[in-house]
Amino acid sequence: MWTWFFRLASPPHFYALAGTLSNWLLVPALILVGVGVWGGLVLAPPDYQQGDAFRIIYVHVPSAYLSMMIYVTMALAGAIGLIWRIKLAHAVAASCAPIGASFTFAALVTGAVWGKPMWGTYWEWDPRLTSELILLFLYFGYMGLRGAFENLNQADRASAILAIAGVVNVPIIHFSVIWWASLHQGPTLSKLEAPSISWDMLWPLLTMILAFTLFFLGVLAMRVRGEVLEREVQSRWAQDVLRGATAASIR
Amino acid sequence: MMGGLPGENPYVGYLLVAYGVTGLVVIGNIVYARFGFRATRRRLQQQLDRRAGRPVARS
Repeated sequence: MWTWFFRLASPPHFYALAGTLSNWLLVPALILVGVGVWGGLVLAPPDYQQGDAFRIIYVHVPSAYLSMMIYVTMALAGAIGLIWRIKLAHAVAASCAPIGASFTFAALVTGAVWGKPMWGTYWEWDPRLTSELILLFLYFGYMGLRGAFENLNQADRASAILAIAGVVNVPIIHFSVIWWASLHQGPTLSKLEAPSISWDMLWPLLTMILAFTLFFLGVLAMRVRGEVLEREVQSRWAQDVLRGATAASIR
Repeated sequence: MMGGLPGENPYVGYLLVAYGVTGLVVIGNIVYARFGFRATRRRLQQQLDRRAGRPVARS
C-alpha cells in the first residue's frame, strides 16, 4: 500500500519526476494567471461599495492562502522528515520557506494597499494583520535557523521543530476575524453554503487560487531538485546526473 | 469592467502597486528557482571535476 510513498521518497525517482512536473505545472499555472487577471480586472463588475479597489482581492487572497498553505506543507514535510527520517521531506520543507516568505510579503503589501482606500490606513495592529506578520517572521526565523547550522542533519531537525511549533499560528490567522473584533472582513469563501460573493466576481478568484497553487507546486519541484542534488552529491546517481550535464556542456 | 479611464479612476495607483508587487514575486520565484538550480548544478559539477582532476567545465 505504501510502496508509492517510499518510491516517491527515493531521491533519484523524485529528481526525475520533479523535472517533468515543474514544466507541466508552471505552464498551465501561468495561463490560468492570465485568465484570472483578465477576469478580475476586465470582466468582473465593480463592487457596489468598494468600487474598483476590490479587484485587489484577485492577488491578495491567493497570496494569503498560499502563505498559509505553504507553511502547513513545510510543517508537514518537517514532521515527516522527523518521524520517518526521510531526507527528501527535509529538502521539501527547506525549499518551501523562501516561496512562502515571498507570498506572505505579497499578501501583506497587497493587504496594505487595499487597506489604505478602504480603512484609511496602510497598517493597523489588527489580529489578522499581526498574525500574518508573525507568519512572515516565522519564515525568516526558519531560514535563519537553517543557515545557523553547519551540520545539515542538525539544521533539518531544528528547523522542522520550529516549523511544527509555528504551525499553531495558521489557525490563529484563519480564525482571527471570528475570534476577535477585527478591521479585516470576515470569511468570504469558506462559507461554502452561501459564499458572500457573486459568481461574476468569484470565478476569477477561484481561477487565481488554482493558478497560484499550481505555480507553487511547479516552483517547489524546481527548487527541490537543486536541494536534492546538493544533498545527494556523494551518491552515484547524482554524480551520473552531474557527469551527464558536464558532458552536455562540453559538447 | 473597470470604471472610467485609468487617469480618472482613483484606485489605479493601488491596483498597480498590488498587481506589480505580486507580479514581481511570481517572476522572482521562477527566475530564482531556475537560475538557482542551474547555479547549484554548475557548482557541484565543478566540485566533481576538481576532485577528479579534470579541467573545470565552463558554461
